[in-house]
Amino acid sequence: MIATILWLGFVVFGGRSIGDQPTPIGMSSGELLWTIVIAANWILDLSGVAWLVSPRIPRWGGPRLQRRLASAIRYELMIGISVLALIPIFWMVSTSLKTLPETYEVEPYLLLPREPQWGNYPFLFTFERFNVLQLFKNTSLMTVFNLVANVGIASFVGYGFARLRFPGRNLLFLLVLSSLMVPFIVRIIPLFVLFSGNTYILQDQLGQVFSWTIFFESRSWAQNTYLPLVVPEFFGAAGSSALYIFIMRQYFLTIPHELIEAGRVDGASEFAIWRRIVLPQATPAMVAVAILSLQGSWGAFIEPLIFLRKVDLHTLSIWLSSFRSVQGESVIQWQYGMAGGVLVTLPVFILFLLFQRYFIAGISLSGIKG
Amino acid sequence: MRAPRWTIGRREAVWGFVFIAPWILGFVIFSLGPTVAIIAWGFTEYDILQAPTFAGLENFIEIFTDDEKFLKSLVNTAIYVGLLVPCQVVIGFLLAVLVNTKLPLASLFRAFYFLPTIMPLVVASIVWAWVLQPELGLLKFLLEDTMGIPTPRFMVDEYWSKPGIVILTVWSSIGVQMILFLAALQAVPPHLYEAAEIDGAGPLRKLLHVTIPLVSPTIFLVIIIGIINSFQVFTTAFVLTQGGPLDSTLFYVLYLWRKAFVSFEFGYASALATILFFIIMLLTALSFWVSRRLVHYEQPES
Repeated sequence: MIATILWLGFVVFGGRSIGDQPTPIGMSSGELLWTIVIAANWILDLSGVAWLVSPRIPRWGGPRLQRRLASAIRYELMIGISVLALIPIFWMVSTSLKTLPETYEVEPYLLLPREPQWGNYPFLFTFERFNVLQLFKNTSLMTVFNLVANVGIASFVGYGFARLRFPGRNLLFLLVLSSLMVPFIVRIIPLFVLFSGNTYILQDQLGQVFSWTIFFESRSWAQNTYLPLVVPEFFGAAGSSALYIFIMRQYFLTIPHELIEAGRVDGASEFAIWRRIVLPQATPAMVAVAILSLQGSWGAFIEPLIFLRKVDLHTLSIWLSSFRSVQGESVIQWQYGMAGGVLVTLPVFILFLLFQRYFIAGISLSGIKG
Repeated sequence: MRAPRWTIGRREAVWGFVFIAPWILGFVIFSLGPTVAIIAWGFTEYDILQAPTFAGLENFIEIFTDDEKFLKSLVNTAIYVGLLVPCQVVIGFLLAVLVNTKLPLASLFRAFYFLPTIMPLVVASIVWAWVLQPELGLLKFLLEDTMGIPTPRFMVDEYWSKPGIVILTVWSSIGVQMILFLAALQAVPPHLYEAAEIDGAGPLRKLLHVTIPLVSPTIFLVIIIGIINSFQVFTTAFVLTQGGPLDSTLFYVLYLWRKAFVSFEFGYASALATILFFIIMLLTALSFWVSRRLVHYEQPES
């Protein structure tokens, strides 16, 4: 694995041709050399793991050497896999700084731009077809609404399921979880009908959905609004609401019984107990839900795609997907697509760096990404 | 009439219903209602411009007897799920074993593996569309141009389009599986390993007879979530291949989406959605049934 990385570094810094002599199997000698080194490295790695794991192979060298070897192999694999995980991200950033001709250059293949084109980023905001600033505004607004909705409703309903006894509670909670099984498309089609009023929608538009230039004006009251993207979240009935309710419930179960009892003895209403005693204790879970919700809405794709059919209502993810549209231009402007990708990813990355702990806690509690 | 007696228990129950009331409302309007509507519309012809008209079993008969794309998309999806879910389980587990260590910097690597998961799926999709691009893509350059390893044309080859999407999905979701398995591994009580060591078990034995049984609930969880999610694959296929080449990535929901929102055959789409719903329920039920034999649940110590 290390050899793979070395080789990659080698390629990046332009030292590909250490040997250009032809060999009988069709590779140049340099390529052959690298291939052998990488293969040998992998064989060593795998046999090292096998040696450490298998009881059949005789041990030598004592426990200390074995431990050293084990951590060496572990580090090597961890580094190698990091490279695999990070290469596409590197490639995105690198491409975003290239010029259009550079993205299409093959000989020599450019892993890094000759000169970083920082201007690609401001250029994104000057597109005619998409007002990117507007898209940022739309997406953030939707994200914030959904965040408030999800945190509020999940902590409210979650408390009911966690700390209040009422008949049918377990059955209803099972129903909450089972709604995770309902395919999103089953929810979306009726939602679409519900929010389209009846009707005119889509005349003359058949077959135009793939081409991103033509979007239509709607005449019905709720068509082309954010309502179908936001309203279900306020009722805990969006795709991942059940997870958020689950996360909050699990957390509320850990709050000491005495605290709640004390509130009841003081004659506080359950609402006051929830608001004044329980919520302040539940910040970590609320942050986890907030982050998962934020990440989910920020990158939401299919719902905006279906409900928002006017270009100035679009979200960032729809804009990004248009860079791949097959029927659009013949030349795909990869550098802008990648720059857009960086712009859209950056906020969530920063958030991740700040709140990594909550992210991970939320995911290991819920099991699914938002 | 006597006024109801407000015992403490009843007061609590009323409050309980107050707290879950928003969810009940939402469940009825946005989950139960739609499910019922979808099942009902499956028996109608409905183009959303006019009210649905009853059509009996027509949609279902057409789906099962006269719709090649239905079968194609179902098979595509099944192959995709069959490729993806085992990858997620195995790679996720191995990654978790790898980073389950107190060595310095291990948490940094964990964060690295998790970064792709943070990325919005649409971004991941276009990045991979670019990486896998058949003539200019990075992968082709790294494998074929520099090492001479022939690289499949992922996005244009009928047989390699699904593996291409699987690679992208593994890359962008593996962080979740890693975290789940990591949590499970860290919950394995160390005394079990000590006991196994006293019995003379090597690392492989410990893995097979201690670790895997104890993380089997998580394996089950990852499989169930994997099946439910990947059966509904949409975004990646939409962005990367739009169903092509030769319908090889026409997945079920993509096909359904086209029927509903491109050609506006809502009745037909509803019938398809009903079938999807039952397939997912069936698969989930099946997994639960299989898991009863295979999954080991640790009894909590009193």
